[in-house]
Amino acid sequence: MEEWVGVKWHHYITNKSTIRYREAAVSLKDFGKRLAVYFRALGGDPGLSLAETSDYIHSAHRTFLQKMAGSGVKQALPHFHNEYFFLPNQIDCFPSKKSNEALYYWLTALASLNHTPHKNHWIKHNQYLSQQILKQWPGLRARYKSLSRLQLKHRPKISTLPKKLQAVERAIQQVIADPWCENDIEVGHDVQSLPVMLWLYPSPIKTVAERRDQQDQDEQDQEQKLASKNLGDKKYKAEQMDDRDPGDGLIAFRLESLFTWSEFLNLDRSEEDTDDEDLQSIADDLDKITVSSGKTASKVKLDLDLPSAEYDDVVLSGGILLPEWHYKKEQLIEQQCALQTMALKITEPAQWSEQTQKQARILKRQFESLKPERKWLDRQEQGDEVDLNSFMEFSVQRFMGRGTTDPNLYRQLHQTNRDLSTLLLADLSLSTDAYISGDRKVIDVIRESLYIFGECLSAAGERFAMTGFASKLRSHVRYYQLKGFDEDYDDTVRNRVYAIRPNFYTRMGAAIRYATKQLAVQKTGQKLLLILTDGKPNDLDQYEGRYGMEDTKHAVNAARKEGLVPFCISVDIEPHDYLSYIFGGQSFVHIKHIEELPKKLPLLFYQLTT
Amino acid sequence: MTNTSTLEKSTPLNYYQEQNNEVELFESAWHNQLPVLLKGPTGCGKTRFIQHMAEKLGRKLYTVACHEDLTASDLIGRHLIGDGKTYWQDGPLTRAVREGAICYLDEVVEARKDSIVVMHPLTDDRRILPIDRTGELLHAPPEFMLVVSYNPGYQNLLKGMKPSTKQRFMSMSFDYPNKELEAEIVSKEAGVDLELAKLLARLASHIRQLKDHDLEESASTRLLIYAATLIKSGIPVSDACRAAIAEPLSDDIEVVEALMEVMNAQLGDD
Repeated sequence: MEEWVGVKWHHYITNKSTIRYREAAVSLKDFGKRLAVYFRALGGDPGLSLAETSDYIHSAHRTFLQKMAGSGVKQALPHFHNEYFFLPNQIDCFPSKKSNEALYYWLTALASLNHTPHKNHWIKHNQYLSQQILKQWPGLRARYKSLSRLQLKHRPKISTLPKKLQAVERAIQQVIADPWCENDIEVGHDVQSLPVMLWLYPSPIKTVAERRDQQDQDEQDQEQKLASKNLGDKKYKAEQMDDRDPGDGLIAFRLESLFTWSEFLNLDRSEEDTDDEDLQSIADDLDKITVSSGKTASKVKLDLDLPSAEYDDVVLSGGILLPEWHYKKEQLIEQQCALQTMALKITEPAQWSEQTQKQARILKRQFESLKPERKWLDRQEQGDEVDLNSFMEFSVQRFMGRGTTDPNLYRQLHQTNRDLSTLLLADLSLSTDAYISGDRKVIDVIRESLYIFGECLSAAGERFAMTGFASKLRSHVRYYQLKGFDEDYDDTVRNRVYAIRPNFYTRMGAAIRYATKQLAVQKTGQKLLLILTDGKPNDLDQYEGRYGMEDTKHAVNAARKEGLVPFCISVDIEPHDYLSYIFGGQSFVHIKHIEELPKKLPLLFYQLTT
Repeated sequence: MTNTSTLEKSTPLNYYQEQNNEVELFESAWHNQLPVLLKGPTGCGKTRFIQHMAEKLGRKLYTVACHEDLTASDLIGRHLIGDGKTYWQDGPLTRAVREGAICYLDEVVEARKDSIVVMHPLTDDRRILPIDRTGELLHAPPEFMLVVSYNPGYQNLLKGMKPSTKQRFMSMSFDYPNKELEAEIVSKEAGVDLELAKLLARLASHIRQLKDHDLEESASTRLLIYAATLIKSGIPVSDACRAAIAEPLSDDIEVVEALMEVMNAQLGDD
């Protein structure tokens, strides 16, 4: 009963105190793709992705009613962080769906200038951004007018505010009403004014550099990486502990609030990488996730040591030095990566499941028909047999007085040969160790896919090679030769495919560069480089994130220049934007259900090449 | 398949807005008897350029749109039988050589490789065209010129121009003109005022940023001219843009809607 009353009260009082139009809510999920295209078309950095952010606690001044309800403290604020532009997961602050939609587009337009507002001049900066956008996109002026009118209605009355906030609020309202107005108010980000829905905000998470300033010199060595929480694509607020001003708020003490989810633990969660549903629901319940950047109780280093020499694969040759693209320097740094070609240690003969073998047999039969064989070509000038059809046609034409003197009346047997070499490069990084369902891992699916791919292509008489790669920093990129171009697809190769296992990280650029070298010396007219991966380029160092993406993109473009056709097959959970950024819109395919990969891979090859 | 544009001195030159120095380059190629390869995205003015140049140089133009079934005899010519006797009919390439005209093979990668080979002796310094069927050997007069074009963006995995064929031509790369020039072109071609043309050109330059990422092809100058023409004939701006720009560029409804939003941001939605 008490709970029921509580819920009713909560709904009543929050409805009273906050201005939200649930029935007019629009959510980012329905608009994500459109907004992403819009963002890029208006000039947004194509290397960035759009993501959603949840409500973020701000310290704005609240009305008495809001304090009573405990509401009004949370608001999702659009901001840039790392390689993402975060937008609220839902917008419902205006009374019509159309205006809420228009707000999404407006925020995206502001973001397309690729500026993150300066935290000490955020009013001025937003004013500048609005001016720029309105100048560049005159069509948005009418829309801005109606949005700003709606927004002004939601702003607190200046006279009701505490004295110290009045000047700021006046300036804000002026700027909203007329972005070209004169004002010279300078306020920090922490000022207690209600967030403006039409503006961008600085990232609520402090950057490493900013935090470093705050920390003592001796603590700096302990500095952990920036903590940003990405569960799914939703972003939660992470906050330093000492920021909160406990003075503003009205709390009726209730005993059960003692047992709360929100608590402070001195743990390093900066490397938290499990994407667990329970965590997701917990995070949804939380107001904030507290992340400490100070000393941690224990230091867990996510470094995967090399296996002992006894169990390790055999190094075939010393390092092959390969360059790497540094996107900030815009320079190809020579001899940056050392790549080792490795032979897999085969411990047991391949044992494929009955089902896999059956699937392989079926597909193999289909591919056998692709085998270069002798075919009858009709309508030839010379040939072994008369082509009756064309003779008929010729006779008819001649009777009508329009016959040609060069009738092609013969049929000839012809050998059709394909002028193509294919190299399949598979990502064998540790991420493939993840479970898909039951006891099947990503690597199992990749293993089966490689097996069936090999069976099919060898049945079709294609010229192909299969390789795999993994990396641990730039000094150690492992490249596994599963099948060379001149090797037969036999039990040795099958055993090698069977022996693949997850290893380290994904330094994709180096692997692509080496594969390019291998493929470039093939003497066929067409060269196809298939890259099979389950995620982004990634390594222990800076390779994670933009650097790795840019390096891989560079390697892919270089392969293209060599006359190769690179094509990526992704089995990532989501078809992320990075794929089209790295490989180009037409050169990748995302396979939604990874279980289908073994069947799809050979068929995909067929589609691509015929 | 073949069309011949004859030169009529009375009509003004086909309108062509020069972007760089392509007119001078082309003229000099013609004077020095070099074959030319034009590459560039669809609708950027390759065909218009060659028409313009043919008129400027006072040569007849033979245009062949290449396709997969194009054979060597389609280019060179064949024997026909009629009225109890046979006679030889020149193909467009042969006719161009005989008349000292310009022969333009559009989208040359679409043609089968073996039919492309017949033009090889015409593209080096021999400049000859042997006709096996009749035993004739034609020497191309100095006025004859061979021009081919292709769109590098099109290449699917197994189609493309052989590097050895590419090397036989002097190459000129075409792209969409810059905003100012494009606005001028759109305004002249569609007969709309420069302000509208400027807006359309600005819009196109933004949409072109989406190439390879969200769109296969970028908005061509031709599409802009279509849009401007529709607007001029009284179609509301946003309908015209949807029909002439957004819909032709993508079949994905999300992308189309996003493009419409970009247009609204540029041109206003009312």
